Amino acid sequence: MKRSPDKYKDLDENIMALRGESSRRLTLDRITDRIEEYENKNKKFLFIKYGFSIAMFLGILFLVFQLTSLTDFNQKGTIQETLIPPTTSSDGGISPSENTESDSEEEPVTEEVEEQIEEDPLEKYGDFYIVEEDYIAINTYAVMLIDEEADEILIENVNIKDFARDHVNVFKEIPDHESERLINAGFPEEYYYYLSATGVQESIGPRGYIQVTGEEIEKVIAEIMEVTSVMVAEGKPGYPMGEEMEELVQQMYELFVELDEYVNGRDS
Amino acid sequence: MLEDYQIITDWYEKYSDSIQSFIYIMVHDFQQSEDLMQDTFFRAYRKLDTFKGESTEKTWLFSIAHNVTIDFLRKRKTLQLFKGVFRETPSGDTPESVYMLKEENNELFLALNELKDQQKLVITMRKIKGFSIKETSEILGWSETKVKTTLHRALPVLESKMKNRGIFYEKVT
Repeated sequence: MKRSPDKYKDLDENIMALRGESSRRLTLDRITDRIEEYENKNKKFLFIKYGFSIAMFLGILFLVFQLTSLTDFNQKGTIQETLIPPTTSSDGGISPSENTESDSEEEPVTEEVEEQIEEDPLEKYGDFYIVEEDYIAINTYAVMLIDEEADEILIENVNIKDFARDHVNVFKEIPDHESERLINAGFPEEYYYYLSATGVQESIGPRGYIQVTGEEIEKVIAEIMEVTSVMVAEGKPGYPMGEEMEELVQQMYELFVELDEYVNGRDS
Repeated sequence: MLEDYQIITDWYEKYSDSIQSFIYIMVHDFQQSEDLMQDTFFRAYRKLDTFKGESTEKTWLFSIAHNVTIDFLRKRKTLQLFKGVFRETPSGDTPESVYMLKEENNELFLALNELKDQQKLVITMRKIKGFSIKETSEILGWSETKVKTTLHRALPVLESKMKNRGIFYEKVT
């Protein structure tokens, strides 16, 4: 059957035509409900906010009134001792001037923390740390998501050097291997290696967030990806079991040792 | 507030069909595509004050839809990993969740689904939705070069998938 490229548009029009009016209305109703719910929550928040502002305003008025009364009282030449600064406590607490001093002492600590966050990963990890668009996209996305959901910002730095070193251990037979946790939870050991292999695909595969350049390293990574695709059984359900998986794990281990030696040196 | 709501409903009337079709191509489930579109427009309402008109409203809405969809696909991928353990069917498509497309469109739809997400995205934006390279780069958050190269690589892959299905393009552009 021969087709023209206009079929792209046909597909779009076909899908759009199949969307029923009832679906269209129902979705709009749901959007409206969510907006109303959101606005109602905002109203409650605004009520609290305004209530707090009014209370603050009244408090300030009261304070001003108190101070004015005291000043008038003082100007009339009566009890001088009653003019105590409002923030000074009777049991020898901190005076406003002392407070200012302690605040200024804390400032350099904050600056130090900010400097640590702003450390340039490119400078830290050198040539092999190449920030690609995908990497930035993933992190920007993560920052947005976490910021919205939990009012918290998470910045994760990933680099090829640590990745290579960590994965030597992932594919190495160690008695207290992390896989034990999965096995204890009822999963077969192969599942741990299957998950690890999918992680490798996400990290250094053609669409991974770590991308490196260089003839040798690209060759090693291509070999790793070849073994990885067998481990994750691309296009098939499940994943290899038993001896087949053991052999693949051994191959992965050897390849990661090679990668580790390449990026971290033989003495790493 | 009322004005914002009016803007969102106007945009919904204008673009919801096109956005739903984009999401449907990506997720293959019409009920899910309606839910994700709901998220898209609700998010657009909340973020309306950040829309400065530097891009068109359509491009802006599609970029939100893209983020919402990618977020969903990532979550679904994690879920499918666990499904794999219990040997469930790899495809989530059921007759209740998919549209009955015309045969020739269905072949293209299925062939598209065999592509990687990035390839599917770029073909959907450039060829199906007809966005320019600049608009596509704004929506997907990619550089224009990446849009061009990904499309350049994706089209022959799609062509070969179609050939496997016994369908030949007269010309692939």
